[in-house]
Amino acid sequence: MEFNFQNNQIDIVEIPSIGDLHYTGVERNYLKVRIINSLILGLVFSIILGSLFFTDLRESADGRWVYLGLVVLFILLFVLSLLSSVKGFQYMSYALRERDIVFKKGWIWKSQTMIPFKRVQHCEVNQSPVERFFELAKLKVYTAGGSASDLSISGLNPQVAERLKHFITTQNGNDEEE
Amino acid sequence: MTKRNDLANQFVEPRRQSLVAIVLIIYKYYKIILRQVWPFFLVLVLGSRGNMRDKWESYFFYAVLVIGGISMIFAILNYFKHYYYIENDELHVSKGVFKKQKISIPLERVQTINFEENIFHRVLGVTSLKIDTAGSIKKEFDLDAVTKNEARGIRDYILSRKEDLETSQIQSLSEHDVEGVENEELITQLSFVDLLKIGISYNHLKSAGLIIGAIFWLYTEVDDLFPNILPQKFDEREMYEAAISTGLMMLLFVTVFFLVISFSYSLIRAIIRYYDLSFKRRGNGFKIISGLFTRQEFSALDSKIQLVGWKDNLLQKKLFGIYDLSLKQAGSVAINSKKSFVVPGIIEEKIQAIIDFHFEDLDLTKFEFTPVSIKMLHRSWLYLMVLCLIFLPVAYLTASFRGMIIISAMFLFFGYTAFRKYQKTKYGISQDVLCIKGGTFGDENVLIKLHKIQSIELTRSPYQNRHRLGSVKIYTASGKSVIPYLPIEEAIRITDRLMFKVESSNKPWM
Repeated sequence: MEFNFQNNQIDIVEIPSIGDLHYTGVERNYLKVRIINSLILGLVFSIILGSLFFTDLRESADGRWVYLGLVVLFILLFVLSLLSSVKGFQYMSYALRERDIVFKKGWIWKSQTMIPFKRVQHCEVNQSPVERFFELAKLKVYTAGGSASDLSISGLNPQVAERLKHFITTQNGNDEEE
Repeated sequence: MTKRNDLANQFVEPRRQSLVAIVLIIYKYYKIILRQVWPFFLVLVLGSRGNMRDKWESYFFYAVLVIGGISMIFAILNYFKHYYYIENDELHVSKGVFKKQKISIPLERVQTINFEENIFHRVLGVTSLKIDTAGSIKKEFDLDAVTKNEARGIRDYILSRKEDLETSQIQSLSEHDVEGVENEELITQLSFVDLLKIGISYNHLKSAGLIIGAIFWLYTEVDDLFPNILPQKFDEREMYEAAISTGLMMLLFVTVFFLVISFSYSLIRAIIRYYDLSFKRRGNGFKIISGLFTRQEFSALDSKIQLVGWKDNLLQKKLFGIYDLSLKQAGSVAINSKKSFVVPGIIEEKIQAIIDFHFEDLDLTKFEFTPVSIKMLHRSWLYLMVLCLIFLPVAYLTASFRGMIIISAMFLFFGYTAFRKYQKTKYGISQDVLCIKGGTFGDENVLIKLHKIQSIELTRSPYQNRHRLGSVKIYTASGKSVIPYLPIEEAIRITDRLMFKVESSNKPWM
């Protein structure tokens, strides 16, 4: 047996590469969902700040500084969350191949997850109330590798999500019969 | 064959566990109850005072009595309602007092059968039987106490039937051809000297270092603060100086004391867990028996092992040349720490022997290892430098010369650690196996069969993105391994290759 990395029975060029795949972005509407989620966070922040405003926090000089610090921190967090909703959205895309599914995401920390259909334990499609309103669905693909290795693609058209789910599960079944 | 038929007939009749199981079931119940209520108990003992306390105590006493009584009755009923038998190549268990439960499992779905004996089992001469299945059914098939002969009989019967069934159904799926179940080969055993070695070479330095570091830091903090505060308060400089010298003595004392404690603790732990350990090859898997009070039998089937790793620390390496070997198995439900087993004190030859068994004569010396990008080191150094630039001025401003020296020394040490880590991090891929090496002062090695990979993630941090690098994270059913800091083209190539291997292989991962 040879253990040299380059010495394969298969020409390395012929192995399909994830480098040159055509990726499909998620639905445009999902951007709205993300922005709404950020706004909800902003709302929660405002409520917290608002209720703090009526406590005795601002009566002392130190308290006022703390309050000011909180305001600045919350604004920063809110802006960051809004920015990452918009920016992160642009990087979310997926690609389907004959034998696996690839999902790409990440604005600052980028990642690309690949799951072979063979290793899929099960698939599910679910919708949050907000997602339902915008006619979106989330596809979750589970493996035995633990939660970190699972895929979750948000912002899909519900029909597309169902089709993907069907495709993935049937591919998986075919393989097992072989 | 007649022997097997005898065995088969033996288990057809529904049967109960050994009578002493009642004791063990009661013990199990009490343990569970105690685990639930001990915080309550603690609150009671510590919290209440005076009359209230008396009142509560009497309530508590009655509660204990009632709960204890009820669970005892339950344990006895449970015992009499618990039957098991093997029929039509299925293991049937029927149990339950109020809620009747009848469950069965095809023998070929049984993955491993482990024996576990705690001190009560050993006194009573019985063993508990843990039957692990491939599906999501968890502990339903466990038996609390059966006689040792019977336990062995059940296991041998199930495993041999399982093999017959598997070979008749699937022609070539199994990685090894069928070997006899009885076929056992001793790989290694730990003697008392080995246990001593394990105790000595346990990473005391790391824990001692942490504690000493913390003490030293506290000491310098005090040193920085006290010249301003203490003399004003006490008016006596000598007192402070005396405090410092006793402090140093204390430090020395604490260090020695700690080392002694740490050593005895790890030695006792090693003896309790690994006493008389024997590591055997049994059929298509490994069998490990060890323990002083609780004799644990741990079986790891080849098909269930997802990761094989071994590592050492500086002491283990320099003094004895021994490694901690870990066999990580896929759990039936989720990743479960009980499914992985660490065997300490294994010498290199034995590791090679284990690899030979599990990876079919894989020759590690023929592996070609590729280092990761030097940018990994650069990034660590960059971060350390940034931190250094923050801390040093702080130390300078608080006018602590000693602080500055300590901080510089620490950063030099961390810088060196990063260098070692970079030097050690390597990976190699053969036809079927991925090997990742790492470690700082000791060595770490991980071997993964390529077809056991569940999914792969390619990640890029901002730094990596700027330098066209990426990390490949490889997920298996018992944890992940990372090849960090590769040039992005190489990372993609490896990912493609691994994916290809997983997808083109027909071998099951479990």
